[in-house]
Amino acid sequence: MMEVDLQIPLLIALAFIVFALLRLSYTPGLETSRSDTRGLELLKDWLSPEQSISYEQCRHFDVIGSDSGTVFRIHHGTQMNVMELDNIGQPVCRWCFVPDGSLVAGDVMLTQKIALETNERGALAVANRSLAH
Amino acid sequence: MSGSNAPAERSLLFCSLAQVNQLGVLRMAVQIVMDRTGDTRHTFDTRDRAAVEEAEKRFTELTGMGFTAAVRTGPGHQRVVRSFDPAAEETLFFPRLVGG
Repeated sequence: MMEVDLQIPLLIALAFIVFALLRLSYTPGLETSRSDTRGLELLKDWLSPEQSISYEQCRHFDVIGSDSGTVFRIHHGTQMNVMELDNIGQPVCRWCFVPDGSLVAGDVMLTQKIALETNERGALAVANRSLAH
Repeated sequence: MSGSNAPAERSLLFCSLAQVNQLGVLRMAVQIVMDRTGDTRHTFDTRDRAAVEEAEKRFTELTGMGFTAAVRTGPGHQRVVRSFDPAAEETLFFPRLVGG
């Protein structure tokens, strides 16, 4: 009987420690940060050297549309981050298209790059257009 | 859908895909699927018939769900593929595009 009395508080203490450890190991912000980092690493793997340098220095990079040859500037972000430029590099308008689902910024920008460089018309067909300013 | 834990995949822990392939023992390829965690990677030995069949099945499932597949052709260059390419070293899958 004495042993049982001792075991119950011990089990409660053990359960409390396990619960506390689980709470400590789950940090939502940390998980989000890891996902963001993975997305940016993937993006950098697929950028050209010029695009990579531009992104590192300015947080944006340029791509050339596969159909029109138009230059688009992709800024760091997940929405309203694609700018169409004219032939002197001035913004013409913004295009907003993203991959379906909640993806991190790196994934969104990489999708936008691939879409514009391989199927510009298809990408702009689903995109919303707005004024540059 | 989660990555497999095949022995071939475990061997990649300390080597890049290119390094593993240079060794000549394995001929590794990877399918990268964008998701909320950044991405999920499925590596397989292209000389393992069962693994290649599994990769082809994954390709068909993902493209059937609306994902677009792209393979890297050089630094900063890629092409979209509509059918499974067993020789592709790196295939990236991204979800369908929607207006924002």
